[in-house]
Amino acid sequence: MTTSGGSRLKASRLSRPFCAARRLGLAAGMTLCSPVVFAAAVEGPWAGIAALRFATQDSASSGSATAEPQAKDEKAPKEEKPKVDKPPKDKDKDKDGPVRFELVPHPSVRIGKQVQVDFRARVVEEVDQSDALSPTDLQFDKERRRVGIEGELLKVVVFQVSREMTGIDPWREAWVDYQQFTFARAQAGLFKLPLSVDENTGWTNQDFASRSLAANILAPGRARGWMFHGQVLNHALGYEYGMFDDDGHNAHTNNPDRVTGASTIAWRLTSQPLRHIKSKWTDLEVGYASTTSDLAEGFSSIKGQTTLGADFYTSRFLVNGARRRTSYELRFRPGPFSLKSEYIRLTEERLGESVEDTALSPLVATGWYVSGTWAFTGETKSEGLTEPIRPLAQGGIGAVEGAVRLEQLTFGSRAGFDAPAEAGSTSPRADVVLGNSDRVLTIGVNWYANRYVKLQFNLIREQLADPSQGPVPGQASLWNRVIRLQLGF
Amino acid sequence: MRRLHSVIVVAGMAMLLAGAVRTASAQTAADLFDVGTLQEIRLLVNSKDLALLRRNYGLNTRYPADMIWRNLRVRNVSVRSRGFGSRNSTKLGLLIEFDHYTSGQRFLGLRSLVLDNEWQDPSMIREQVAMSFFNRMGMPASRESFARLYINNEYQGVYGIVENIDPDYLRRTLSENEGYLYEFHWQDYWYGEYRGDDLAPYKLLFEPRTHQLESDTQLYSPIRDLFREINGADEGVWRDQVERVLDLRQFITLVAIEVYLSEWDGLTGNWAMNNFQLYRRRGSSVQLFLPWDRDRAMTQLTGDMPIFFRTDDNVLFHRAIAYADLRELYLTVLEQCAQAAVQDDWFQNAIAQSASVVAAATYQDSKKPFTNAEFDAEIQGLMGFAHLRPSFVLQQIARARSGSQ
Repeated sequence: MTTSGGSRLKASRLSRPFCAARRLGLAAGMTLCSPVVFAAAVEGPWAGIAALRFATQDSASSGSATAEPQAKDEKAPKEEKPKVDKPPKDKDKDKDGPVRFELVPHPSVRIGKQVQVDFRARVVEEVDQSDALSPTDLQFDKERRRVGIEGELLKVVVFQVSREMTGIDPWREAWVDYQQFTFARAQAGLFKLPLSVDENTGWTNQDFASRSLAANILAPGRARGWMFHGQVLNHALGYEYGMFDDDGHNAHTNNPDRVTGASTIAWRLTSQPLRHIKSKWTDLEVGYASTTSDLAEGFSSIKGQTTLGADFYTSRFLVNGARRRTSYELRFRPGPFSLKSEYIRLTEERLGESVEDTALSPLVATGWYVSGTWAFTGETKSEGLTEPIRPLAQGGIGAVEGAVRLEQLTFGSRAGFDAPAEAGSTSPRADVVLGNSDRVLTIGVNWYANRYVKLQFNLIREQLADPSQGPVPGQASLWNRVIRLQLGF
Repeated sequence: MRRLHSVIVVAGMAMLLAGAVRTASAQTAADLFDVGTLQEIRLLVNSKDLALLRRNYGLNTRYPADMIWRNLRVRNVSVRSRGFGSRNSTKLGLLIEFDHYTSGQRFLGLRSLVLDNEWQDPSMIREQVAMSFFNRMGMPASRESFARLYINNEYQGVYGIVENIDPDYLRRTLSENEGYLYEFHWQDYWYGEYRGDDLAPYKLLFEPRTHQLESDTQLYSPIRDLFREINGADEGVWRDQVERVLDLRQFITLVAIEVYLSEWDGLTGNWAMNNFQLYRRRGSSVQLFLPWDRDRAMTQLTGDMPIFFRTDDNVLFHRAIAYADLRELYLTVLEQCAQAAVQDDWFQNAIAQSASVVAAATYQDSKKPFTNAEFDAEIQGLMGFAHLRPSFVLQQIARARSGSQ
């Protein structure tokens, strides 16, 4: 009991700085609280080691899989105290001396109890088929490879560095987090802004082959900056507040005619209002987040893309002023089920951009989704499925999960939403702009063979409001099929 | 009593509203092109765009604007600089497109308008009078009127409102608009010689205004074929071959009207072929020449420009006029022009009316490159042209028919 409890405790303490979602109780597979870690901490011979491990590769923040450990952790606040954080003794550890190497579940170097560095890698192969692709390019393969390290120093500083092996902007995470105190922690470097639980969920714990359109396009993603964060009121409330150089990778553009948000302030509040109630509702979590960015004059960098990246709305409209995002999020994971939903609204001011040099109504983009999953093989969703109850080749078939998501992404201007009958225009100075929207239904099956292998199948139907702006002019409905294989440690 | 009062007030307001709606809906393109009225057009352009428009007047970059005429405001139109010799930053020549940013948007049924800055015409009225005369002679031509133009509430001077040659114009004048329309762009002195099998030279000269997305072969092969046939060596089949690809009689008629108008910058002008558009009906190989931009008409104010002046230079006209029936057609149209000009003093009245419409506004036009005295003198000159030209042309026709020319 002491062992597992201590492991969980330490896991929780160390993981929080890593991931916003985790801090918010939404959190993630990338942290010490990941289901993999948690399982190892409880069951395996590396329980103490696992308790010191960090995160999945691609995000400093969260994943849906870690909430259960957090919930347990939060139900026992006194376990949060560093003084009771004693990892279990491990005979092998004593034999190894001050410097030790581990290979399972992933390569790791430890120097005494003060330094730990883990090595992570992931390979993703994806095959897409879509009506949006030309007949000669009906199917294409995508491959992504990512490597990284993550670790802890002196038990109060955690860090993570990761990058893709290809691409013109390969760096993904590069940050340190000072987390001595639960109520006030400080993070700096390159990491994701605290907006959107979906965007801040690592790929390991994604329920679908692609993130929601709202997260992919409207959430900011990662940027350089700093952030204070913590949990207060006996973990009843989580907060994050930070300043960033820009408004995130998702809004970036290489087009010099387009502008993206400059200096950005971001904050988020989350709460598990029922966390003290011992019921299936304990896991229920809600959150609200906001960002505000300076926006220079130019054409907006925000554009609408289908699930597989085809343009269906290209902003031809001048913006000037501020770009603001607000989001509401909800997550609930009773047993093998999960329910997750978000609403994100992004507005861009257009000060002095009318033909009379006055302000136009802001451009508005809204996105929402509702998704649900069910683990057919009985795993508890909040603990994650990366550790199947019966892994493949160990007497089982792994974990199998079904998933459904309905979502919509809409672009326009406030004047257009106020007067829907008025014809939209592509004029860069139009008050009622020509908008568009994409409503998407995704049905998926996820197979977790073991902690290293994950396979996803997605069938996606997209419905464009204005197909003339879509990838296949005149065709409003698009079908996509995606197979995604992920290997990693 | 109080209720009755309310009813009366409401009824009155309803009548006023109905009247306003009726007034708004009563506006037509015919009102806009009413040459007896000096229109007022206001453009609203973002100050940054306007600065760019003036700075880059040599480019065809479009900028968004709103256009106001009477009680109608058209939002999200595009405006760009236009013209060749008339382009300048002081008094912008402008093309207004109503459907560039808003698909299907029309203004009085029009998809575009030209605001002609009259930069090269001290009289301000040549273009309008010439086009009116084309219309009088039954030749498809743009409707035109005059306007005071304001941009961001600053007076820009007198402009000609010119009906652009676009699919709506084609439907009005030719009763169909699904064919291929090209605007000719002057590059050098070209009298219609064959420029080879390669399509590139024709692509340079003819800009497609419809079917822009079609292949070069579809767009330019018929034009290349036209000039190949015009320059065909075999006299025995020349006319048959040319008439397969050109409405020859329409061409002769057009040249005759131009010559009557002493046009210096038209099909047989001083700078070789210029200022026309070419149209080919869908499913047909026969092409038409359409007149465009006639602000150099009536340049020879003495009215004594010979009816065969420079006509030998143009390959097509030179070969066509060798046929007796086409020559006679040419003379007949010239004769009809002279008659139509003097009938009810039409030509002089047209000049007088247009001059009276624009005079006051022209005097206030500080952006025009001419003095008010030059304007007055030019109007007087045009009146002289109207008086002298018919008799001179009739004399020339008589001489031509007698075989002395």
